[in-house]
Amino acid sequence: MSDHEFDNYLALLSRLLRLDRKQRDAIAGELRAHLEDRLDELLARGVPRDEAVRQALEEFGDAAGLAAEFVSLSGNKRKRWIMRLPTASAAAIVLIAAGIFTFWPGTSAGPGAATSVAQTQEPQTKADPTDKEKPAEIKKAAAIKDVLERRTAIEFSEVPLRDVARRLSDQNGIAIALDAKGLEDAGINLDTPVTQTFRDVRLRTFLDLMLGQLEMAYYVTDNVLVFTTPEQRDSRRLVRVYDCRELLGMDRPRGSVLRKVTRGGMAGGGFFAVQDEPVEKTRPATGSGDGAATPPATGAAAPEAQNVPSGGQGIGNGRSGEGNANAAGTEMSDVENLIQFITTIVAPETWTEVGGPCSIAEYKGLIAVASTEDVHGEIERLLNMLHEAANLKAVKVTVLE
Amino acid sequence: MVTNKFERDLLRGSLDLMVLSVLAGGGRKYGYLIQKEVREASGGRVDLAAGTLYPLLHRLEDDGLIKSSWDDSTGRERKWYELTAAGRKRLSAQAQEWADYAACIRQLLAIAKVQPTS
Repeated sequence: MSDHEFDNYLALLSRLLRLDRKQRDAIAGELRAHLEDRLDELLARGVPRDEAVRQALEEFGDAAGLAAEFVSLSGNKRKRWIMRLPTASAAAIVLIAAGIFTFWPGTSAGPGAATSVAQTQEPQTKADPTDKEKPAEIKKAAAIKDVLERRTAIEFSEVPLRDVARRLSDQNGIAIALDAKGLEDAGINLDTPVTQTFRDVRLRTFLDLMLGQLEMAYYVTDNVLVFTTPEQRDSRRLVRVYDCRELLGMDRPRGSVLRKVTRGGMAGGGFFAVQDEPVEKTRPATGSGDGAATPPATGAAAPEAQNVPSGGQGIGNGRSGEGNANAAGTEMSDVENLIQFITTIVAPETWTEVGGPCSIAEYKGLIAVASTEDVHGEIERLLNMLHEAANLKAVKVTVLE
Repeated sequence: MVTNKFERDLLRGSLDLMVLSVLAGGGRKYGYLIQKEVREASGGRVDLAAGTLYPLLHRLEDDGLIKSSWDDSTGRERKWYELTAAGRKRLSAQAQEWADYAACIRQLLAIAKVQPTS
């Protein structure tokens, strides 16, 4: 971990700022100086570097929230009240049509637990949609994938479930939909009171805990976070391609399909979206209601793999991750090893091999998986762990929408 | 976000004043320094989070109360802020308001015979 942690944060912030290039650069530059000052101070106090970087970033809070502050500021300045419709809203309109409650960030005030003393918030709260209709005034949609990993304070005391969704939407700047019909069919009342308090918790962990208790689940589609039943969630199979060529020591052919992939984590970025941000290695495993994930296995594998110099050993026969391709024969067995490793550790009972609905296949080092959001998350973390152990960048994931 | 050593609502209206005061203390200052000085001046009771401070600074600048310039003479490229004439004027007006307000509250507390415990 180093200053490049700041790069990631600032790049994310920059991406979330819907301002012109010059303004974005100025804000990122100013915040960078602040982060570096803080880092220097912590280092001078004898705080270890990793810890100092982490602390400096934590004090800054989440990039989505901060970006929203700046953006709403510039909106006020120009006295413009434009309705911004990010790509995700199209999905939401479809969801609404399907009778699903959707909450949009910045559309209602909600005396939330994490309300900060920011003076720029008031004008954002003009619209007050009652329940479903009308995604009114949208400041921006943060990349949910990033928001889920962020730490936040949660305080709900006897708050009806639908208001929990609304508040989480506001506080985190993300769109949240409630699959009202699916939930009601499953006998889950949207007014079920929720009581939860956490001082510092990842949003993902919180959702796993809260929804798990209610026998609910969530998934992300088109940058909308959907609360639904575990059954509904599990019935969604998504196809993703994991680029394991480096890990398997295969040469990366130029001009391959992945070269053309567009970058950026925001949904709707095109046909492909590549996510190459590193996943934190010590994240607590987040198995949820369906029992499909197997956190203990993942957790147990981590230290083992990190102790070896090359990622190859994690998958069986200790070939260097950076090495050139060996004979095709060994490659095949590496790939098989890797696939076996994945299917043994992640959701073992769901694969077609054992009669489950999910499939995994490989083509020249690209591993395609058809499974649920949850399982994809586990696979990505597992592969990232292997990549990290082999000193490689995070795995590239192509999402086929 | 501000620590809850003071009521949030109480702080809400006074953050501008705090920042303007720190800048009135002389010379130009950058965000990190402003944050630090507010913390020190309040005996650690007010800790302005970066997420509150920077949007606030930008708003004050938009309102013409402070102005900024970039400079790397300290070895790091920083954005420096200083008070404008309008900012100085706003500061003294706000300071007056706060003094009046505080006096008013003190008066009311005296009538209510409420003594601060510390």
